[in-house]
Amino acid sequence: MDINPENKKAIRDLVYRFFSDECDVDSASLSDQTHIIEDLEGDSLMLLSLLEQVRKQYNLSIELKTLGKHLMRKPVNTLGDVVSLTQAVVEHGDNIINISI
Amino acid sequence: MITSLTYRYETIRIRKGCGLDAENISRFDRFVCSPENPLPMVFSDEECAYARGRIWPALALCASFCCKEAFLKAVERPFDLKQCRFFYRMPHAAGPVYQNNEDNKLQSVGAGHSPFRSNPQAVEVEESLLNHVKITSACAEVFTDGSECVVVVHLFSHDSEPVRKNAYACG
Repeated sequence: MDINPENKKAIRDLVYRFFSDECDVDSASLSDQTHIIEDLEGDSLMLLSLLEQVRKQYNLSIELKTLGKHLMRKPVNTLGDVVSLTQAVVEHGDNIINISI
Repeated sequence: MITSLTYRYETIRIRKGCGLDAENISRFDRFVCSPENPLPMVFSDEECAYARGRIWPALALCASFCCKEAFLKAVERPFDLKQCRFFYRMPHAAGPVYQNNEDNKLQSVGAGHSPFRSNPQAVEVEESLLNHVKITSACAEVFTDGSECVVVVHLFSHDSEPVRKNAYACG
């Protein structure tokens, strides 16, 4: 799926809104440098819930195994990493494993 | 003269790996309220239906999730989480305690329950995954104090050659 700058912003807003709700923090206090684990006490359950929300919203077909392989190569630590990952998942789907981000 | 010989063999189960995961049970309250599968990439429909039929649905789903995460840590490689399924059989004495939280939503609090630990229970693993990670079986132990659920997963393989334990000869 080709995504334009407007889609990218919508995905960024979705991620920020998700973590703001899940972690009960003001989204204005979040930034791309916010650490998922250290600052937000995030975990795999949160990431999976986010992924499920994105999958439904954009009608994506992606396997967890593929995503897991990608995360082993390029782990996510910050909110910015999650935004980049989510944008890549929407754009490339299962082909994310072949993409260098 | 020896006319018959009887051997008795035992196969040895070798522990190949171990993984652990812990979660807060109340995080799964919202998942069991939905009639649909809340995380189709994680849970099978059977696991969701099973959990909803338990006296403490949130604990059953939480244990299933922790089992998958613990299995992932034990095998140290990514796989489809639905290839590993866990249907937690909780002790008869266990039961949920629910109350409305500050958002007026039902939340399991587990108050009044003593910590309990289940005997090891089998984890269902698809054959393709068993072959991929080179194990023959897995089991899970569940520990809970009513608010947190901890699952330890053990991976096993059989010895490739059975070990002869005894030989009987008569004649």
